[in-house]
Amino acid sequence: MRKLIIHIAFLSFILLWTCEDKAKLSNLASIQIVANESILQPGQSTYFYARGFDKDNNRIDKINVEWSSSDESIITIDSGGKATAKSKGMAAIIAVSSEISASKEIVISNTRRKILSEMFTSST
Amino acid sequence: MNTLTNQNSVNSISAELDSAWMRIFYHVWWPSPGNDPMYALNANMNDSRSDYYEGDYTPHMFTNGFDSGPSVNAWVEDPKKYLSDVSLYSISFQGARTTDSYNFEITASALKNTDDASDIRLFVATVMGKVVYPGSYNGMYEHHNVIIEQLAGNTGKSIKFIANVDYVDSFSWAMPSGWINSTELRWSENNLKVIAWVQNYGTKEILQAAEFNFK
Repeated sequence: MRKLIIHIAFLSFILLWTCEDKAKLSNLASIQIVANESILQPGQSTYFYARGFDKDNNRIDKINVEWSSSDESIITIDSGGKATAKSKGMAAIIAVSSEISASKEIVISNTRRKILSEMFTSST
Repeated sequence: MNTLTNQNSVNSISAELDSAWMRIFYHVWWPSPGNDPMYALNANMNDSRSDYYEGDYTPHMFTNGFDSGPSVNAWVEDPKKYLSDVSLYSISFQGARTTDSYNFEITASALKNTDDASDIRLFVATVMGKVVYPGSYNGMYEHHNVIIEQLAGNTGKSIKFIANVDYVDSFSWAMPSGWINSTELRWSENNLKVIAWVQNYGTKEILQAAEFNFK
């Protein structure tokens, strides 16, 4: 009998926890995509992260998103948010959760950035 | 400082940095006696750039638009932070020197459109690689990479780039008479170069730069 009560209590906890999580996701109003880089070189990888917010702009702790790329010839992304640049161009990384979506533009360039230093000096 | 300022010096910082790093020197009117001819020959330009960066001491370096202060160590280390960067912007050059003028085109492009909120500007400057000034008050007789003139205006030319569409600007330029007639400065047109850069005028970040010569 004691074992049964423990089982029921455990199952109730799991049920409540799952319902709370679903309730939170049903409150999802917007997604923000966060990236460490906005420009990548071909072959370079970086991680994208998704943050969820409710209609009052309160942060939702955990959301599961499906990641995709608008152009896989330019950049690919796996289910864990790891993106790998393929070729020069511009594409969008898209995150979808509970029919809410967001996208973030990413540029792939192979043009080296040169450096300019400007010095203020005098001969006096 | 003289070694650092000479881009042709055998005492270069490193081959990798040399291939990517450009330097421009604006001469200012302080400290006393304030009679630097490299300032006086284009005071408005030097004043304008000094005001933009709000610098109030010399020597004072800004690297890709950000303050590197008065320290030689920062002047050398700050550029290294950009060595592995790539840019949205490309700048190329085509042109030639004739008997009495320099005629050239600067082509700039971007991989994405300039958004409405950004103020992206193109600067094009003529720069003298080596200037000898025997009358130098501070004892530094050889000066490097002295800017002569800003050809796209002292505050640059604002451009709204359209992705992958070339922006082309043509220039026809001659050495200013003040430089030609100066009895104080010695220089050679063989050391003339053009340095062009794309800068976010609001944040001051320099997004791309390029250097060309007429040899």
